[in-house]
Amino acid sequence: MRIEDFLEKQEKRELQLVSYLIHSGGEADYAELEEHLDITKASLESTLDSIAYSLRPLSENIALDYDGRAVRLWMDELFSMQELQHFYLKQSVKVQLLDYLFRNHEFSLTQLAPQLALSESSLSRKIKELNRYLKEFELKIWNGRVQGEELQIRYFYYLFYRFVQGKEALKEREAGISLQIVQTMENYLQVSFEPENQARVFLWLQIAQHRMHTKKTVSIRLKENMTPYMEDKLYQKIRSMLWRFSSRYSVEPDEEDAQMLFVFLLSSGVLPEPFFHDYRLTRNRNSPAASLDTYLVETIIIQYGYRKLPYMLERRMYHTLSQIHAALYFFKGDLEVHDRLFLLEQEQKIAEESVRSFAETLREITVEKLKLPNETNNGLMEWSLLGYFSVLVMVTMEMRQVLRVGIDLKHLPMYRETTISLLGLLIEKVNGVEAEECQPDKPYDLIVTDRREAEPLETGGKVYVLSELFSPFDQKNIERILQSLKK
Amino acid sequence: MNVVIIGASFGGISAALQTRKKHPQATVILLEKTSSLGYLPSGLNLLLSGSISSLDEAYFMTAKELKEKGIQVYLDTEVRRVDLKEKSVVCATDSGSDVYRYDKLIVAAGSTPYSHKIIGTQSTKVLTYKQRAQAEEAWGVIQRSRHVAVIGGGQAGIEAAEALHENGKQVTVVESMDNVLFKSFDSEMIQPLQEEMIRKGVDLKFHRAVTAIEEQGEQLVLHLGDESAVCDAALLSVNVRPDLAFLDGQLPLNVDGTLMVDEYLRTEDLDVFGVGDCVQTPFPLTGESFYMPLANNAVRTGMTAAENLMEPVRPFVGSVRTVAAQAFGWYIASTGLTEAETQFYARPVRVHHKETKTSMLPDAETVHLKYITDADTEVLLGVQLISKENILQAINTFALAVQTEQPMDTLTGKEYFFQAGFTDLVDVTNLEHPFERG
Repeated sequence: MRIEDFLEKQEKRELQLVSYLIHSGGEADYAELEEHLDITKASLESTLDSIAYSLRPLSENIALDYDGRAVRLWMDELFSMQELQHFYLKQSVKVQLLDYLFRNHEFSLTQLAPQLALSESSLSRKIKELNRYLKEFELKIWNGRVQGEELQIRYFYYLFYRFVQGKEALKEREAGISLQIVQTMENYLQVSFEPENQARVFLWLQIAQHRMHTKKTVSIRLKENMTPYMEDKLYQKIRSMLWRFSSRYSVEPDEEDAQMLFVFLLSSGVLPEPFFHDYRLTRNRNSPAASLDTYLVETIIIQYGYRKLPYMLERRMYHTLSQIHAALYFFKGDLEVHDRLFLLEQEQKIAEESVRSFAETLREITVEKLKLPNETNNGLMEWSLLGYFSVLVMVTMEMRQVLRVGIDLKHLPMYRETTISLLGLLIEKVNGVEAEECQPDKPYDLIVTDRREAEPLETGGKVYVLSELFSPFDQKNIERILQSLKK
Repeated sequence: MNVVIIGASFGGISAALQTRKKHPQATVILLEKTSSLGYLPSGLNLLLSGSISSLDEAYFMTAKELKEKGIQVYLDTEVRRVDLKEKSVVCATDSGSDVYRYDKLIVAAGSTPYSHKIIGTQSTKVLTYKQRAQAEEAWGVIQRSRHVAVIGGGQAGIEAAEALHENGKQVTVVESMDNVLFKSFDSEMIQPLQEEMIRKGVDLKFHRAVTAIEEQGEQLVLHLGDESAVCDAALLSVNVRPDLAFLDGQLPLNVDGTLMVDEYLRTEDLDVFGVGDCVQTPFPLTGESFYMPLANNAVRTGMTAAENLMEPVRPFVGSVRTVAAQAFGWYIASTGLTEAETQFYARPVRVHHKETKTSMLPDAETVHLKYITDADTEVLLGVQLISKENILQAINTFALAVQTEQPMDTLTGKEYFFQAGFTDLVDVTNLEHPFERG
């Protein structure tokens, strides 16, 4: 589910227009915008009028100026696109509906429709639309309640309040008790959360405290998935802490509350790496996520032909992989806050093509080992690719053994320097490679040349003779040679 | 002035009596939903153990006594609604409904043990016994049962387990934590009692929470995660909770569903007070407020609310959670923080163990003591004791010391009576001395 899915079509279009203006330097003519938004001039004009109306409360932060031919954007230096998105989200009926459902556990159409200034039929339509998106989380608004596994409900609302509605919306009566649990947890587990992570744990606990009073909950899959973790030492500690804490209040703790907190801690990345490392040494290595962590670390080592990884790098890999795997094992669905494809493109700019395909292989292994259903609409699965990609980039960057490539272009008196620079940039796309114009008496791992009579290097390095300048064929061969040299 | 009190157990009756004493001119109206008042919630245990011969003896107060003091008592009167604007209480009675107008209202509606997470508690073989009618039903079922499970190993659960055992029943106790009475005792301190329970054939199932109860023929099956236990009946001895549905959300509640009150026990509506099991109690050692549904807290909050009816004069001092019991041949008592609970205490602590004798006579029993002090200030934070002899009164001295934040020096140097037949060379409450002996 994308964060924009909480908005109506017109609201999405308005944001899309502002976003386009930002990417176009703050100005665009009508024709460009009509094409980009795929709308007629009349629709563009009505969209512009609608934005102008919507932005009135933000007149000190953002404004649009349009004259029938071009549109200009003005934004205060301290204002961002993200803030504008939040402004729209806060007014969204779907957001208000989900917020209401969280606070009230259940509703009737007759009771809620007037509160949202909607007719009952419009409200039903909104619910239907929301249900289409909630399907990814295996949730459904039905009979006046959000229905589904309790873990999924808490997970969805955690994402909702973190990214959509804003954490401040929850600072109510649960705040005091949640803060106490965070502090108790730090004390009891001997862990110190980073401020940002502490806020995330706090948010999870606020949601948990609120949901604790829900009478009918479903935890069938959680129970099944937790079976290999029941004797886990961290889980046992969390259970004991939560039970003892709850015993001081008039609440009825249950096994599932502790299990859900455990799942959150494992999958959300809030546990500091040194703490996770200590936990990893004692955890059950046969549990699904743990054995997959080990399997993938070994697969990565074999793939890149490393004999051994530096100690701290291996620890960081386990830390990241364990979060990806715990999330995939326990949760369904994700709320896409950032454009995933855009991020993937950015990552790819700093990595080789082979890294992406290897990330995909890792994901396939995960699907097989965790016996995950092959779902096309599970955002979490899509995001895991980015996660593996990051791990691989982290490893290849750190393990990079710098290979020196000398470029020797003797048959090219004209534009020689420019050509060497361009060729160098292409070669350096392979991680851990430095290219320069060949210097006499300097050792190189590889010399790329346009001369067939090139002498074998004294250092034992390889020579590659270019078949044609800038040909994809040469580029592929050079990449292959460099990869083999790395091993 | 009309003072209406909802609920006639420890909190409500204490509030009524104190109101009568402090405000002789006031009309005091006590509303009770059951057909009797002043019932001892442990009546069934007393009956099972033979301490009383009939539930008729399990009362600490009667309607007649209260009426003689000028308190209007209405039994079988269940509060349905409170109207804060109209200052009235609407009740259902046998003959229809009644409305009582108030100037001051004290909510002392008590609590009930229930679980909305355990499936199947509605079975007639799952017993609660806090009220007289429930105890009567439970008594009947227990008489016909051979094997009874007790769900919850707190004080009420352990006392019930002993009473059932004494009654010749096979007993299983299911406790979700690692030891019985975990709120008040650390595991090593309660170990002797647990060993005795096991020796007497009680089946202790720790670290297990009952998820569902199922009737199978004449028997009950308790589902405990991946295992189960079979019995003829089960006593539900889990945490109690208040039921404040009649307030219909008009007054703010705490996250745990208790009534939010200030230090004078006033709710957001200053003419409405909350006492007993309906409110959280300040725990001065950590500066927090907890839910401590103890009779002594109910009595003290009831009296405090009555003192503050007209103006806020006496804040409620709170509780250091003082408990004592006798079970399976052991006398046990605790006050203040346990070691396990020090995770909620912000400062470093020191833990001490000690053994002493109950007298100087040859047959004197040993008293095992554990006490926790603040590592820097040496202020006493908590004490647990266990002995074969009745030394329960000693916990009251410790409770006062903890409540008034006394340093160890005060206890060490305090005066005590010496009598070889009743004390050791130094009293059990003079903690720091060189005459230790086990």
